[in-house]
Amino acid sequence: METQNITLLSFKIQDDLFAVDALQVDHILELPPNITAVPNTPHYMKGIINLHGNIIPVADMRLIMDKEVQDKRSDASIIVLNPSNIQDARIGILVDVVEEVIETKKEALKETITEGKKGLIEHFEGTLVFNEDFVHVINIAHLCEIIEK
Amino acid sequence: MIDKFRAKFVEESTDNVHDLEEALFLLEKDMDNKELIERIFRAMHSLKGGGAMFGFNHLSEFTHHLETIFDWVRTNKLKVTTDLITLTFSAIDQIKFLLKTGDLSAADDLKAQQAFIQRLQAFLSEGGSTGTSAASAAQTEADPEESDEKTYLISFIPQKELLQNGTNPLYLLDDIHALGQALTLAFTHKVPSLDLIDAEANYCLWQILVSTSESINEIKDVFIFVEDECELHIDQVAGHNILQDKDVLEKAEKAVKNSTLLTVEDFKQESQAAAASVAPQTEERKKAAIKEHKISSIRVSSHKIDELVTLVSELVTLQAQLSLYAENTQDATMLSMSENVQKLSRQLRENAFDISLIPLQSELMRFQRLVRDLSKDQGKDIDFIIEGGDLELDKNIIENLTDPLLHILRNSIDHGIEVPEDRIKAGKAPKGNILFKAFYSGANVIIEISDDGKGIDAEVIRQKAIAKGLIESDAALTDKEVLDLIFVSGFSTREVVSGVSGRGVGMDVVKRKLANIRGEVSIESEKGKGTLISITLPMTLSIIDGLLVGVGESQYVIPISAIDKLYALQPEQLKQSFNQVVVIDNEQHPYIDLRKVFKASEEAEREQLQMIMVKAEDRLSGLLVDAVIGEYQTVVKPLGRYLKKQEILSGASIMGDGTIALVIDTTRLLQKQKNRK
Repeated sequence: METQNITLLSFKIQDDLFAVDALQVDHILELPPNITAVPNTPHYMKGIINLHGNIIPVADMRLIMDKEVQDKRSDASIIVLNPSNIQDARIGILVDVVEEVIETKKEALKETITEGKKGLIEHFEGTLVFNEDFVHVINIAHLCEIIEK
Repeated sequence: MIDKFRAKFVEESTDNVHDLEEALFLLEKDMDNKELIERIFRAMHSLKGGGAMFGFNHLSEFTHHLETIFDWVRTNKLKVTTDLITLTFSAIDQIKFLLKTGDLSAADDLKAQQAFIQRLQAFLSEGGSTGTSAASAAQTEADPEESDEKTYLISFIPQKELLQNGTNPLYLLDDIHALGQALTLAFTHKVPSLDLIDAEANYCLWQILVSTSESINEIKDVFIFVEDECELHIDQVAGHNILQDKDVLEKAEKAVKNSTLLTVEDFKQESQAAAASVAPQTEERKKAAIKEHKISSIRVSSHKIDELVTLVSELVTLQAQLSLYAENTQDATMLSMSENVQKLSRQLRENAFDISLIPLQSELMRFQRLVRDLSKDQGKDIDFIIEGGDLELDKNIIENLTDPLLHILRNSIDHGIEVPEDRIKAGKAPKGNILFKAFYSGANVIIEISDDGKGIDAEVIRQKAIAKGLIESDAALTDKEVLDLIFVSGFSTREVVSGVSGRGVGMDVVKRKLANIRGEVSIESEKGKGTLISITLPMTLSIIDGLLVGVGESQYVIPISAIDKLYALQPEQLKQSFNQVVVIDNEQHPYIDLRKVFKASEEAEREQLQMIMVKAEDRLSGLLVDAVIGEYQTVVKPLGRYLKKQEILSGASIMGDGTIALVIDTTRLLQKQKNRK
């Protein structure tokens, strides 16, 4: 049987581990000193940042997941995603800690079991057991769709 | 891979078709212009050849028949007539269709194609001076008018690079031999010694004496694909076959031996020199024209230009950071270096933006076609005059401009210009005029489209608007305000949807589309006299002059072009006022507090604040800000898809220190405030 390798980038929001497809990650940035707030946007929209002369919007993943924002976490980072099948859709997501790159097989993903909706996200690509932790894989296209609404 | 080539072919062919149309327009005005006919023929020839090579067989076949017609024109067997030009125009449409769809498969399309080819053939057999089956064998067909054999001297002096294109000169010589009796003289005196020889270079040149009944054009055709890579002279040296002449053979032998090329003069005694000298001159001139055309521009993908502009914008931002840093260090060397970098990057920026500008001309051809076709369809006679077609605009603007302009022109033709009988009754010249005028005005470009048609009756518009419930029946509106109603959505002046205008796109869409590129449109019209529609556009989308202001803790940019006046206010002046009006010099000014709009914290007491008067659509309103920081030329970046609902911001701008200021769209802001009231 054919197996499909996947590469994931995992990150933490409070104590939960999540991951996105690493191939669609453009940059990982330290939290810049100032994010320019854009007025009259949804609460999870942190604002925009200047990435090498390009304007990148930043969404706070913690708010999207309905978690509390812990003040001044020094490890907080922005993962800049460049969704492969949507045009001009680069977006930064703000997370608590960026963890590591995980190489695995697609078959290792199990169905994610959730009680109702997890924040704004309606479904996950799957859940992976890695080093005895559960890593929930977020579908980037779905995430972008939510943010665009 | 082949798809890539096909795409390239389609791209190039589109240029060819464009060229074809342009030449045809010129030909219509100057029907005897040989050079134009040549240009048309060449464009068709390329289409035919390329089409066959890249699998556009129907295109190739179709163009072949068309080419035949122009071959006859070229050899004076057919005269250029209006009928011929009209037929060719519709044929060009078919070519465009074939380019778009590739080979036809639908039965209807095939039938239409066959019918068209029959039309072309019929045209030939009716119009041609000889009744031979021209369509089948245009290239090799004998020309009855020039049935006498003539002798030509062809000097074919290729450049060294000839072989690199895969051209085999020997095939060309074979082709010449196929035309008639020929004598080829090969000159090899330029071949260097073996150790210096470049195996891929061509060192040979040839002279060919050919005696043929074909016209000189047939000979030129042989060289049509190499004419840029060689020096070519074709001269008639005798009115009969001189290849049997002993004298001539001797001369030829001597020439090869001494490595001196034969000249027309060598044949003077035999030649009827009259016709000979004209040919090389025109040939030379034509070649020069082609050369010039090629070097004056190169083709670059627009993607690359976008990238260049982005990089330059980034450089400008970085340079601003550098000068900020240099100023802080107060180091003299550093300061002068940073100043030089600033100078260079400014020049670079101006250049890069200049590159992304393209002349309006490139789109105008479509408009000429539209006017021509529609006026013929509707039995109207219209003179379409273009002024300022060489004016340059950002390519993104031009792309978004085409549809609105086409629509406005359609309206002018359909609703504006009357049929000749009506025009005469109204005391006007039977021929209508549409004037397309483009010119610079400050930092803006203005495009005016005016016609001398029947104009718009404000009363009709008013009644219509009342019927549609757009205005109250007793609303007091000036004629100008009434005319502006045609830009309101859901308004179309014609009851019947006529295939011409009213294709579901009304003037409201025109207005909206133009608003996307920060353009504004206005209309003036006088009943019976005509209509003038004028469009104001920014010269480029990406750079604006802006006023940087502070609101709360954020910075915003307001486009200078929208600003009328600045006032410094004391907070007390606001407290005195009620209903959002400030009184200055006994005049009342409505205002919008940007702190409220942008939900900035209102804790900080304002000791002094500024009011910026901005105008939009004839309305003036004040924007309250905390501070005016300065005037900047800024690069406006789009906010992207996630923030597109953000109506009152048109983009973001990166400041010298790397921070971001949001750019306010004043027109939308004022509109939004108005609607809320």
